[in-house]
Amino acid sequence: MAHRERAEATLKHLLGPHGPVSPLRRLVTRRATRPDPFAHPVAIGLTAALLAVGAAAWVASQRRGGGHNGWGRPAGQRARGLRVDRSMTVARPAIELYRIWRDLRRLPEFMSHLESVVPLNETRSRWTARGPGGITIEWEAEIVTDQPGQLIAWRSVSGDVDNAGSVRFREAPAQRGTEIAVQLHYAPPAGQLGAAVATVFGRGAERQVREDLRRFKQMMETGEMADAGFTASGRSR
Amino acid sequence: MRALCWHAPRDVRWEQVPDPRILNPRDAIVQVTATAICGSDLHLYGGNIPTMKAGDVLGHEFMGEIVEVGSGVGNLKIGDRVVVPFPIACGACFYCREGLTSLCDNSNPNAEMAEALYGFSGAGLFGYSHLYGGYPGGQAEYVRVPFADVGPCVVPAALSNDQVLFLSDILPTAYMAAENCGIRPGDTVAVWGAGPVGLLTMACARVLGAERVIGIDRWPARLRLAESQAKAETIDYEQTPDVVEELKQRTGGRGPDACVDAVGMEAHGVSLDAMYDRAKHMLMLATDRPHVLREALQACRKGGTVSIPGVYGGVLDKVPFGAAFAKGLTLRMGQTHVHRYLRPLLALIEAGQLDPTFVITHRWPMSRGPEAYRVFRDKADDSVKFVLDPAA
Repeated sequence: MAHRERAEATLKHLLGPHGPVSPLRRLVTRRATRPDPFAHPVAIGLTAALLAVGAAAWVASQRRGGGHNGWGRPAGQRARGLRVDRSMTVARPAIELYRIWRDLRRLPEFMSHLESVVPLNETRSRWTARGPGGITIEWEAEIVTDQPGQLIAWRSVSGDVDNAGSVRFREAPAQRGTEIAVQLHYAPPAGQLGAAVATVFGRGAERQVREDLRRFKQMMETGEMADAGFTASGRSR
Repeated sequence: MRALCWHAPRDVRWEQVPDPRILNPRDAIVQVTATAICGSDLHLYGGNIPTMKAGDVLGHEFMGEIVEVGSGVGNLKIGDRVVVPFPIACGACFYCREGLTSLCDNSNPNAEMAEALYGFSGAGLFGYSHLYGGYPGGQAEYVRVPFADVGPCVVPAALSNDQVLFLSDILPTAYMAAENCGIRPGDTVAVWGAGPVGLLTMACARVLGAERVIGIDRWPARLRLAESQAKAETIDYEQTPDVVEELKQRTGGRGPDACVDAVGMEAHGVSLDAMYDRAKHMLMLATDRPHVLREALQACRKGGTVSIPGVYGGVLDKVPFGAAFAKGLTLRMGQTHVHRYLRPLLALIEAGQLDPTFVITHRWPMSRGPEAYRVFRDKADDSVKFVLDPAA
């Protein structure tokens, strides 16, 4: 399929000096293509990279003018690395949701793996995420598309993890709010860091995005995050 | 504080646990003045609902006094006497705005778990397993109530605890079950299960204009209550095993216009299919025993409605779906949207048109909770409804 080739070519380009087919990358790709719906993921946040939300392939394909609309893309189409597509409806106006998301400093409020996002200028920002075992992962990202109320797309430009993503906002029918579609691409780094990332990632990434989106919805609709608090068993879940 | 905690199937303990505290701006803390054991708590007691953990605080029917409010709660003040709905609802999502508060999008922190099981998650519930959020429940001295600006309903001092406690669950549940029947003048409503919800459903069906109500159970004390308090005719299924045929004959061959399954997943029966269910359940081949649902689907008249307040949790075996289709039945079910019934039902109680206190048979101190669970489970001592007092 033409799109897949394009996506692979783009990622190959983005993967840069590590080359496209390291054993580690193969490992992660394999895990990613075998979703385990009953995995009981202790989704620790290495979704870091992930949530550097950004569709590398998507961005590139848009640039080439051969893009899709980011919605309803056929499943099973995968580039090398990991890709996650999730959508959720939030009962708030698109422009309001866009503003929170565009204020990158606020992303850690609902993306649990993120420690901080610091804007460097209009389009550049520095992202810090928590990995397993206290590992910190950092990268710099740039916004490549910014259409107020409709679309934000970004990609990493340097740092520990290559990643790219987009978030689209579309009005739901009959004033039912806004449909948000998030698309993420992530290419695992090589070496020890990559191994740590992959351990968490292969199983937890998709779930992490779902939970992040759910927290975003809770925050925007209710002003707070659902929390069962104390249970005598000592765990809230 | 002390609370009734689940430790294992048939192992409930009255024990010391940490006090709850305000975690979010829209929280309140309620000091419990009365709480009840629900028939659905027996599903937890028996180990039929997954994702319970040792130490979980039980209870979802409770009322009390506001002792603390978060900064985001403007409509309640310390000292207010409130009844708290068992589903936790945010009031802002699509479902809450539609009045479907038990389907709230935002109150279950473990929505992921419910989605894996059911495709989507309903609201978080007090004291009803981690699948429903893992919120500590109301069989305790204190409870943290999230979204307290939406749920708790202030009740007038003139009404007793007994009169209003059941607004937290079983009265709205019964009312919704009856309302779901779409009762029209002349209708006959058959109700399986003369437990607290079944009995109150019979009473509500009367309020909503049912011509005849037929209650089905096997416990003499409960059947007597159905007759005396809800003006129902009764069928003792141990004496009259072919309930479907009996209902047909009692209704001029038409069948009841609406059938209510107020029993749910742990139905008992004496027929062949009921024994088959028990065997499969014991062998863990099926999660639920839908004997009552089968009968209701079979007995209901053509074009009628089957209303299901009884709780189901998993996969059902040998349900006569063909009968439901062939007869063009309407099926209505689900957790109760308590919030939307609270105030209208409070008005009915105040006006003296509905008195749910007749189901109460036992008023015990909460410290005797473990024993109460056992007695209630065995339906011993002619027990129908336990109300527990944390202060006694």
